[in-house]
Amino acid sequence: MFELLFKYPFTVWQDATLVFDSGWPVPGLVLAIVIALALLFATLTKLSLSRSRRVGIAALQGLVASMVLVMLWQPALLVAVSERGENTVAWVVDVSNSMQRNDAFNKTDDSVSRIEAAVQAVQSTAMADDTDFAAALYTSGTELNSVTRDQLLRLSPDTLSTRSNLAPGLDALLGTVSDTALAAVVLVSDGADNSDAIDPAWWQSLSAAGVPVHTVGVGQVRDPEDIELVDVSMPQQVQPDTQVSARLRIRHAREGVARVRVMAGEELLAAEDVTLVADVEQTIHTIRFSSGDRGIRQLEFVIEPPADSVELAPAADPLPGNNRQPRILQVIDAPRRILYVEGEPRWEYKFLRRALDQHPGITVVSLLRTSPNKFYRQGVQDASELANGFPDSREQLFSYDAVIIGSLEAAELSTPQQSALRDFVSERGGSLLMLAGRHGLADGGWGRSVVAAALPVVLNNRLLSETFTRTRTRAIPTLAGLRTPWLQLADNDAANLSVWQGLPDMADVQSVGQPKPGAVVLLERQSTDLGVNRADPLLVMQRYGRGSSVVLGTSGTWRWQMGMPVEDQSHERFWRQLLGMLVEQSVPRIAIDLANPVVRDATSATLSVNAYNADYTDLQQAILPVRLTRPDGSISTVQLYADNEQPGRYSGQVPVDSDGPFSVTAASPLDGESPSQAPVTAEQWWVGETDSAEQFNAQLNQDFLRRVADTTGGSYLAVADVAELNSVLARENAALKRESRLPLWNMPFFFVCLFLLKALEWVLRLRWKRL
Amino acid sequence: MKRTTVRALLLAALCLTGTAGQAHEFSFARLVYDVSGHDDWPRWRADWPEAETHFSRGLDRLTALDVAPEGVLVRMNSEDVFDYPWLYAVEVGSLRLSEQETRQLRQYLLRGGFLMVDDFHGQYEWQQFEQVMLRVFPDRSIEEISADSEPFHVLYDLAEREQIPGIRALMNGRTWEKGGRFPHWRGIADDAGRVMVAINFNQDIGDAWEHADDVRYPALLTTQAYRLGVNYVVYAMTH
Repeated sequence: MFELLFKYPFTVWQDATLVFDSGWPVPGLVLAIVIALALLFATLTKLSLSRSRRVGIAALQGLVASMVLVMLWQPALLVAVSERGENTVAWVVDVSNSMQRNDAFNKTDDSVSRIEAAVQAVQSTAMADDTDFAAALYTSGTELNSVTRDQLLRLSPDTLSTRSNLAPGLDALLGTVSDTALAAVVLVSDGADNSDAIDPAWWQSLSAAGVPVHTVGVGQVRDPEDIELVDVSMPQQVQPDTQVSARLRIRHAREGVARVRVMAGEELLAAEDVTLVADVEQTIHTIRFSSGDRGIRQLEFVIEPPADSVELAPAADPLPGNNRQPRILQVIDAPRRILYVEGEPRWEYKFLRRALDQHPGITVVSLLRTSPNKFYRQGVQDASELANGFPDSREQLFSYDAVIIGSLEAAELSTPQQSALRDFVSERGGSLLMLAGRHGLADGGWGRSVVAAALPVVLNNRLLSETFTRTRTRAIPTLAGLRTPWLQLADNDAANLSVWQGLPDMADVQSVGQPKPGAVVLLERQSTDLGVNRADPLLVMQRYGRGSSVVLGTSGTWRWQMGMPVEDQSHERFWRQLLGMLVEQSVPRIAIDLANPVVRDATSATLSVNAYNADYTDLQQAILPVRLTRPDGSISTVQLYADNEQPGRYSGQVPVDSDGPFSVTAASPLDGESPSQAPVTAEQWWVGETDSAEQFNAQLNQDFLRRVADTTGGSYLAVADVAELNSVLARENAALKRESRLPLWNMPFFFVCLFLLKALEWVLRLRWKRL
Repeated sequence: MKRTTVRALLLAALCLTGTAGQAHEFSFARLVYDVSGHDDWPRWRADWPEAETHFSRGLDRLTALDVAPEGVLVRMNSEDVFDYPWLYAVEVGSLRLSEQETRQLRQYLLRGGFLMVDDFHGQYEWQQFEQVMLRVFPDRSIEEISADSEPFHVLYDLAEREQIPGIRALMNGRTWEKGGRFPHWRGIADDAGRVMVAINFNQDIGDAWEHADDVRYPALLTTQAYRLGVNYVVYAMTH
């Protein structure tokens, strides 16, 4: 009715502005109306009518005159409208494999697949006759493709793509905005992107495109039947015979006890039960296993769904392919090197070396002051190494992955050597461990040295400090220590605590001072200093710059070895894991970075390499060649190109053209130093897989779709509410809306009013018999 | 038990240090064992306490090591022995160990302890000692420590060494006794090739330490005995 009287829909009136098209000034209209009314009254006063009848006639004729004058001034509505045929809305339908799942509207109603619901949504909106926009149809799977209406209608669950490259698809589409009158984009999808292209820069470019992207979500957020091993976080390189901690992220909607296994081929490395709690979307579980011998290990992490409560057999899983995650573990055979400088012969020195003697992954190069003027070297590569004592040059010092300072005075090192030691942590990214001793920590003057800045504790900096005592003490792990993988002395939490409690007292102790903000206390000791029972820090760690530093307030862990049966490995394990952690955290000369350890359904992967010179300045080259080894053993060379924004970083694409383990080897060119000074090669492994990408993260990702809409100024709708899309498109800003003036002088309302006014006047005059 | 033995054991009990912790990194630990000679004189007491007192002071002066000025006495059947990873046993030609002591010595050495044996001479005493060690390590043999081995070079270069005689033999114009004419430096190694037991056969290093202040004992031999002892200690603390 409104549109019948007022010519245009109410929504148009709501957003419109009233203007006059005659070009005559609006005050002129007011003046004309006043003059017309004055003339009317002047005319009517000459008629012999009663006062009331004269006023009535005057009112009716005045309204008619005013309305005619308004119509003469040509009223119009000023609106911004989209012109059909000039504005295009791009409809993008996700055609990845996850869209074949039959949970478009409700899991209990599995009659409609996501892709069918998506096509229906497009059909009912984009292909409707009353739309104001021209529709351009696209599908997005591995690539973005323009399709015809018939091609879209023929889409079925059998013709879908193995990958959801939604982000690159939107990129490609928005790249055409300058060539086409693209008013908006409508993305109909489950949001399960697996393109690896979504990063802050992508969100920025999406926002900068200036085209609203409306998203329509298809599918269910949670699948009550599916259980998914979303991710496995673990170190890619470890030392032989060390404990590896793998952090498993499990997505589930069902509760129960699931079984997690770690397999290396046919060998079972670990198996544990995980309790999945109801109403918890994701469960994190850490599983530990031994790294084993050196070499490359192909691992598979598998989760077995909780048993059906009735049949006690694993319940059916709609996507069994996402219950497993392959990983490759590099048990490295190139030993990492630790420099251990000790100021006096000590039992700790001997037993620390013995603990690492049989460790193929770590070499302890030690420099021991045996007498005031003599040093004894062990573990050196050649006669020249450490021949002049503590390294004089940064290059020599930086060739080690970690440094241990024992009972050695700070004054034993020159100021440049002390500065280099501090920079070893902050700039080179190495690890520093300082041990207690007569000449160690505060008693050795380290609290007054430049190295103090790098330490995790505030050492006593008095000139004469006596914080080292040969009193027995016991190590007590803190909560953080109990959770630290490299402080695990047994394979489960209860046994670990028991081992720690059963360790013999240590032979000596040294006050390490107050931990700095950001430092973590991992071990404590009971102290009765000043007559008060309290726990003092014993093992403290912090990150400093690119590296980390650790202080251990005892040199008496050797009693764990001498005080326990020879079969007990607690002492060896403690030192192997502590030093193993230190060398693993140190920044290598050359490091390869790959976004994902598993490359699924992709033809290539992006590879980055960070490379440094021997003094850890950035390696500056135009290109860096890397050697690619495919699963069939074939080898080729791939060029990586320097990143102009990040010096020392090289990146490029490597082909992933088959299933199985791939590896790349990168070598840093020698910078004039001896090849034996430092490892200058790095190796990275990953697994290529096909037909598995769409098994993971297959639920409706509402958050992603909402964020796309919010970032671009669009709206998010569930597929069930897709009917609202046309009004959303009409209402919201589009690229090519233009100002339009909609004439009102001929709207029916005016003529109806004129007719009614004149009819009323005629009726009155007829009644008054004064026609 | 005879009176002298009782006296000796009482003395030993007084000298055995407690386990509350040592005030120094290194203490000269002497093995006490229950064997006496024909004169009821406990064999472990040979050269005690002057040998360790003298040697400890020399060790303190010649190295950067924190050395206790006095030695300690330990028994192999006590857990205290594990607090002293360096152990000296004298006149081991008379050494006898019980089953429990034998097991404990094996544990001690395999955990990382170091045993220096000294002052036994001739074939008979060798066989006695060898039998004891065969019970400790049935699977390990006693080998000569070669001149280029680390115990002879870790601090002092001792590639060339002389026989260190006891002072009585020296007073009699000999460097040997009980038919042990030729000195041997033998050892038992662990699986990694590290010497666990340093065996000074047909020699009396302890006498050289004990009589370091005796003008009758040649300074050259004392010097070698000190250097050898220092090397054994430093080796034990680095390997």
